[in-house]
Amino acid sequence: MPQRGVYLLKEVYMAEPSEVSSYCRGRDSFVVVYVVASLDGGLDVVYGRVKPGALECPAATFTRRFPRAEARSAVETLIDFATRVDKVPLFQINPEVIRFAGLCDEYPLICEEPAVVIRRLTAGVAEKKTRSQRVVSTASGMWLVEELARILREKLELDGGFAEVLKRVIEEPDKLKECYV
Amino acid sequence: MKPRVDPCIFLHGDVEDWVALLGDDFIRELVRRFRHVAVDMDHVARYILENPGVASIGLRGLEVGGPCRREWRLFVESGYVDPGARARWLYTPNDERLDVRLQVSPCFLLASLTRDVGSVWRNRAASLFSWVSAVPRHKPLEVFREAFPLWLRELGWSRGYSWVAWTRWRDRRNRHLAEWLYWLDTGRLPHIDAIRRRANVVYETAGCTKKSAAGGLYVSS
Repeated sequence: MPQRGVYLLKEVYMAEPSEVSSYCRGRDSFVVVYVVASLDGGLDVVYGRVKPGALECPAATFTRRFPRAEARSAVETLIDFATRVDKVPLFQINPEVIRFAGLCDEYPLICEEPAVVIRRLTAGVAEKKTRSQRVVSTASGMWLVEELARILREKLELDGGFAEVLKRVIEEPDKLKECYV
Repeated sequence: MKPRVDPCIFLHGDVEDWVALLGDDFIRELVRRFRHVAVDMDHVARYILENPGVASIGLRGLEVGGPCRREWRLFVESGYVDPGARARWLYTPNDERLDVRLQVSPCFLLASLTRDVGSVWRNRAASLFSWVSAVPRHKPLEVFREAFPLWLRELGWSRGYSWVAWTRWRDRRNRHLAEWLYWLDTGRLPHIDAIRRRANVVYETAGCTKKSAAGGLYVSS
């Protein structure tokens, strides 16, 4: 039987028991799996892809017990399982469970209101744009230096004596200024 | 554990009332169940007030008795809270109609946001969605204080909550709306204030009422 408890996934992303029944007939029947973080005092946090209800499929439940004080790590372990092993996208996770576990700092995109997330994303995009513009200006500066180096290299290839001019300019830059006065 | 109040206490911003109405056993259990996010009762209260949806999750499996045990059982086992109004207001006859469809108590913020609960919000509190895009699950009091239109808040201030409660939306009274205005102004729920401050005086209260009829009295402070 499916577990009673609080489900890790949002209701809308869980299948109705009737929907999965067709996969559970015949010899190659699927097994519906539930993974449960069971906390002292009667709170079961359940990860499963099928809503609780009358299920025609065979079900297997894996339970790990946690002391109440470890509620945070219990939920974190379950989220890790869902997102890394079962590859469930973060937005399918029930934000109330994250809030209960005090994990909003770790998963801000799940906890925040959609409007706040959009505001942050917009701010992030703007910041990224500014940063990339800065990078572009630095890149264009580098391009200029490289271009000058290329011209000097060509000049040196054509006229070996130009190396002596360059050497004097580098050693005594003020001397160059005097040429223009 | 036999609390003298219904689960709405978790939206009532007065920790002394929590202690007085929930009782020491309940408070100890609450701190134990939330100690992964809070160190003492004040922290727990603040955490739940800011995140009302966590209360029912933290209390899963708890046996609760007392006068409101049915509401508690529903809350603890399924995260559901009745959307009905709790407070009883002094009869203030008036023929005013307010074009505000808000027939859900603020206590309903404690209910887990399932699809069914979402439809109750949409159907019975349609006006709310002109002011907020979704039911806020974090710091709802702050969100609604900013979101509610000023003219509505001013009605509560100038005419009184009882007057608002006896105005109409279609054929219904606006008792839920009066609860909202009281909650937004004080951070407390009127029926719990009634239990705490006025229960033994002249006012009756609807402590864990499912049908709060108009017989009782409550005067806005």
